[in-house]
Amino acid sequence: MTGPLTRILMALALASVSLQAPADSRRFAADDPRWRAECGSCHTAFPPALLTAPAWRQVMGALDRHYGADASIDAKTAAEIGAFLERNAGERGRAAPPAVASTRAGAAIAPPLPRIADSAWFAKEHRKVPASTIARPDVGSLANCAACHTAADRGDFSERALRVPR
Amino acid sequence: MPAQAVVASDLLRGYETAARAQSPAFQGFSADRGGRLFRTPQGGEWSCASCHGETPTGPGRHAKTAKVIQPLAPAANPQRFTDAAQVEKWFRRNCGDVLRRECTVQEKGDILSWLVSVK
Ligand code: HEC
Ligand code: HEC
Ligand code: HEC
Repeated sequence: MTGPLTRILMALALASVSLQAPADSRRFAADDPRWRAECGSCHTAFPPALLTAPAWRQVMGALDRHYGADASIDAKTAAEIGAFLERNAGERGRAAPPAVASTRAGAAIAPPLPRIADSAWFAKEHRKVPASTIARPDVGSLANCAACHTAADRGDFSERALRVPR
Repeated sequence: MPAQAVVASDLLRGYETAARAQSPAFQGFSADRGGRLFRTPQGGEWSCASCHGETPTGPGRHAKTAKVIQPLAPAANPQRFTDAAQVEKWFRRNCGDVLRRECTVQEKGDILSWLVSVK
């Protein structure tokens, strides 16, 4: 028996399948409550797939000197979060490599740390974003994902949730 | 060790006990002094207000990442100062970023007295 209601329900079911985010977005689905709480307090919790495993080791090895802020946590929590990040890290080319140690004076104070935008994939995806947009006070840097990707905190970077401030 | 549910006044009493034990000359906490410390840079780039805003009953914005930070005053955000370990972790790190050292018990007590006094 296929009444009108059944047909509507079937149509809705099919529509929801085609509305689903492309397979690519599964890359950002990895989740962990510890990571979300500790690494999502000062900025978007950057999905593990954005950096390679050696790059995450750099980040987790210098939390007390974290891009100019003190982000240190107890050793046990740091080890757990580090394992989660490395388990779900991205591949070279689609994720940022570790930073190269600088030989400049002062390098000892500021440890080498990776930048998400240093991945070839990320740079290509964002090459059309104007510098004037990035310079806005409510954006500040491309690393402020949530300024444009309104569902970044849920790991959703699909174009559906994209609102670039203008 | 499970996180202990507390309220701001419990924490403040704890700081008072610690301050008294540290110094017999302890004169009590001052909300005025706490408010001034909160809003004034201490030699570095940031004050507490750089990220938390001048008015702790309203939201702030992280000075570097631009992420919005929910209000710090318990009157506006009842979740604040309810987890002692969490509070100590943030005091340790944020005081380090602003003062290049940890805050003393006196300073933490002054700031908390001010934060609970703003309505
Ligand atoms: C105390 C605040 C704070 C905490 C907690 C924190 N971060 Fe950060 N993080 C920062 C700041 C500040 C920056 C630099 C932002 C900038 O330069 O625009 C940053 C930048 C980063 C970057 C580089 C982003 C880019 O520009 O490409 C990564 C990766 C990162 N954090 C990972 C983490 C991880 C993993 C954790 C949890 C273990 C964490 N953060 C916790 C403050 C914090
Ligand atoms: C200033 C705005 C802005 C910021 C900040 C920003 N993005 Fe984007 N992002 C865009 C735009 C615009 C596109 C669409 C590019 C296109 O389709 O031409 C995009 C595309 C993407 C895509 C591909 C989405 C898809 O379905 O094709 C991903 C993934 C992504 N961004 C992740 C991030 C992450 C992670 C961050 C933070 C580290 C970030 N973005 C920060 C504007 C931004
Ligand atoms: C560079 C930005 C920044 C500065 C400067 C800063 N804070 Fe914070 N603070 C944060 C962030 C981010 C959080 C955590 C986010 C949240 O809980 O909403 C936080 C959380 C806190 C908490 C946790 C309260 C609770 O119970 O949740 C306290 C206490 C605190 N800050 C005090 C201070 C004091 C005191 C100063 C000045 C000495 C200061 N902060 C300076 C960014 C900052």
